[in-house]
Amino acid sequence: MEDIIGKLRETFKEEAYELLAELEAGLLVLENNPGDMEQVGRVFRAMHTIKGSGATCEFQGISNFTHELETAFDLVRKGKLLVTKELLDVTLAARDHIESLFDVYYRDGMADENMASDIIATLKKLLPSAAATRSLSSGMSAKTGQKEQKSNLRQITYRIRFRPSKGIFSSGTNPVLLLRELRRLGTCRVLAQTEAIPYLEDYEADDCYTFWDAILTTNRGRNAIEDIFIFAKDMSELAIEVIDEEGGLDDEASYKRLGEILLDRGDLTPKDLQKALQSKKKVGETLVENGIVSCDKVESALAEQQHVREMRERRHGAEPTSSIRVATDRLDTLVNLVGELVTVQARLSQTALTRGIPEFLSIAEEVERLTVLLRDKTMNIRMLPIGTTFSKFKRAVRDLSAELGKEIELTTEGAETELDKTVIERLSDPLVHLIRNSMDHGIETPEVREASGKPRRGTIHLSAVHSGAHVLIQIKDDGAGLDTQAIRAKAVEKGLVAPDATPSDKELFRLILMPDFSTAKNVTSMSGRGVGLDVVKKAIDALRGSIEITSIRGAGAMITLKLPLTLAIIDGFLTKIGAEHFIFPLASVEECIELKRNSAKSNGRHLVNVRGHMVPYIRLREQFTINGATPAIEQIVIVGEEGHRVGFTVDNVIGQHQTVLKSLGKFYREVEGISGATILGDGTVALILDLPKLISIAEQEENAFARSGGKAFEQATADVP
Amino acid sequence: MDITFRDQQSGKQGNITLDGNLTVGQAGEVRMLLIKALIDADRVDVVFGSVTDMDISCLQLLCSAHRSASRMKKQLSLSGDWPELLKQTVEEAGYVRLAGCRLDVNHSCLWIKR
Repeated sequence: MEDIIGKLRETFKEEAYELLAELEAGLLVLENNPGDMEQVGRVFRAMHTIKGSGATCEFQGISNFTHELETAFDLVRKGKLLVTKELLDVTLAARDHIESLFDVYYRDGMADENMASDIIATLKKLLPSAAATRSLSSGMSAKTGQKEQKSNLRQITYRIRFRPSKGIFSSGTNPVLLLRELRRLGTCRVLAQTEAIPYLEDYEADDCYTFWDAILTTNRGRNAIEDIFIFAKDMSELAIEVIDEEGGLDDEASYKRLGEILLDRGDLTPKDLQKALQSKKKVGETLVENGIVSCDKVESALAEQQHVREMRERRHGAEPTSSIRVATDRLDTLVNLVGELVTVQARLSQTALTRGIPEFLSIAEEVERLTVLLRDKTMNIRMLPIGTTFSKFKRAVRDLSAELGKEIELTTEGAETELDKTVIERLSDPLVHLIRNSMDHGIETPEVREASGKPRRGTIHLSAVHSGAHVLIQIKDDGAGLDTQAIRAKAVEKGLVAPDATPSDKELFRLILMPDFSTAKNVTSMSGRGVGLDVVKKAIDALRGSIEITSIRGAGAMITLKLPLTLAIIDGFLTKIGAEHFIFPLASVEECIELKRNSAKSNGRHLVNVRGHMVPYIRLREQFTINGATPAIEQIVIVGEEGHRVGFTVDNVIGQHQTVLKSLGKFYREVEGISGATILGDGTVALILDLPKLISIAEQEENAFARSGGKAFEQATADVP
Repeated sequence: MDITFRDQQSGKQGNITLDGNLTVGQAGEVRMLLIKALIDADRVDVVFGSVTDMDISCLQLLCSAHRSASRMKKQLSLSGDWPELLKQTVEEAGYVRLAGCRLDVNHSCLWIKR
């Protein structure tokens, strides 16, 4: 039994934290829009599931505690309690307490045992007195409440036959009004049975000749149906049968056949059904043609069949069978295996090409096609929307702005943008650093903002958008912007910039990403220690991403993180220098041109004329000190990086290559300009180029050169579109 | 409520206009109009004027008249736009049909959604 509970708890782990995130997100939206009943429902549902699943996993303390919160939000749902800041504060505190209770089991965390009673006491004060004494008590009432909730939410389908007496009109009863009431109970189909309507000469004006069949799906009980017909009770027959029930044993998506329904209803005898089944025609047609069952009754039975099928389909669709939870390590194993498969497939393709057997080649091509499909599908499985991280920041901004005495709002955009799960996980901390930095150093106090003509409330805008094989994440604030003078002074003080040098804003902004570089005069709990931005840079570098900073003094700053979509397999562009293979990320490659030996140098600089524009290029052979003769015609691979076009010379280009990223061993980790390696089809290793780093190295060398008189590279990279 | 007749090449055509209250209180009067029209005409069109109230008795009567017409090998149909009240009553009373009843030999059931 303990083993089962253990497994249940393990299965519930991820969901528990997701529910807490959902709860928090709903509460934060409610803070801005307290009347949003959709969000009240969202919060209530999260609490209800935590309570229910908590109880199933025998987290009784969590279940009971959450029940108290749920009670309060039930009152909100019913309009008996208003959403106030006090209610949200205590609910957020309660949410944190639930998290700490989960942490005790899942993450070896600690929980303050007195916290629960303090929170409940605070919550009690906010409730209407009757509700407080009635609801906020012990686990017993929690259990009862849960049971009631369950029975209330269960959907039952009823078959109702309402047969009024002929004289019902004389009592002043209008059957149509009763049917209208019935429809209000849920999803309902009504079919009038008109077979008893006589010809005009026999028609009595005051008589009712119609009776009704109805199929109703509702969460209300039989009594609610009987109540509708209570005043017609003495002048009619009312038959109510349960024909389908949520959680019932017979819960297949299909439903009874027409003949079975008619038998159930008593509209057909088994003998007549047997006869009808012998006919080659459809049962319904045969029964109507032979006058055994009226057309109305067949139509009514068909309506029942369709209604129940639809209800069951809806129920099955609503159940979370369309997705399953899979442990991350299983996914990682799958990705690794696909990586291996890609490598073997490359080998297969190469061998097939060497052998030149047409049948073998055809199989290799098919395997390649399937491998690419499998790779893409596997990568997609790992993709998650970045919005899950965004909601965490909203809470952080809410709490920290109060601590700083600032009014700050976090707005987000592109929450649905998908990124590899690993990238998202490793992105969380850098983003927290950047947002905290904006809050502490960027956004001014309300008084200062008002004095400078800005709204009291500052805004930090967090956005994510796809851009080719990358995702751009921007953190933009409307604060004071970066102080270039202060950064310059600090750089001079630290000897990073010569006192007489005039570095560009871009160069200065790059300095703030260096370790131990802070211009903040005050150290706060959040930032100012010079620790943070270098950590951010390291983390982004590790994700093979880049950081760009722009700022306008007085108007705000914007930090853009450019991140690859995935860290596992990329489309690469395979090249060769001497005997060595190098891979460019294909998404960065714009074009390839030839470089003849006699046009290789222009005034001592590496520049090439591409359709009238001078493009600088980096000689990789020199960069990586590869020995051997340069071919008479080299290839320049031109890439677009950070708004510039830069070329890289190689001996030969081979072409597109599915690249499984392998990290370099620790001895090679410090090699600049290489971000990883991959294994080729013939078993040799190809190195993956870290293009931003290579460009940065070249720029540094160029700047050193410029300081000694030249400035061709900078001009060229700045001017070429 | 009134009834008019005119001679057509195909036979005598009767037009009945139903308006005002069409509830059980007026059912007797409507019944008489329908009987008269079906006796005197080969083809009867029922047109709705300004209807102020309607209940199930009106639908029953029209159904009865349609069945009678079929038996007499005559035609009865509802002409012109249906007033909202008629649409609502037909819908709420569950009179809408996918196929006509066994007596609907001409396949001209009044309640099939067209």
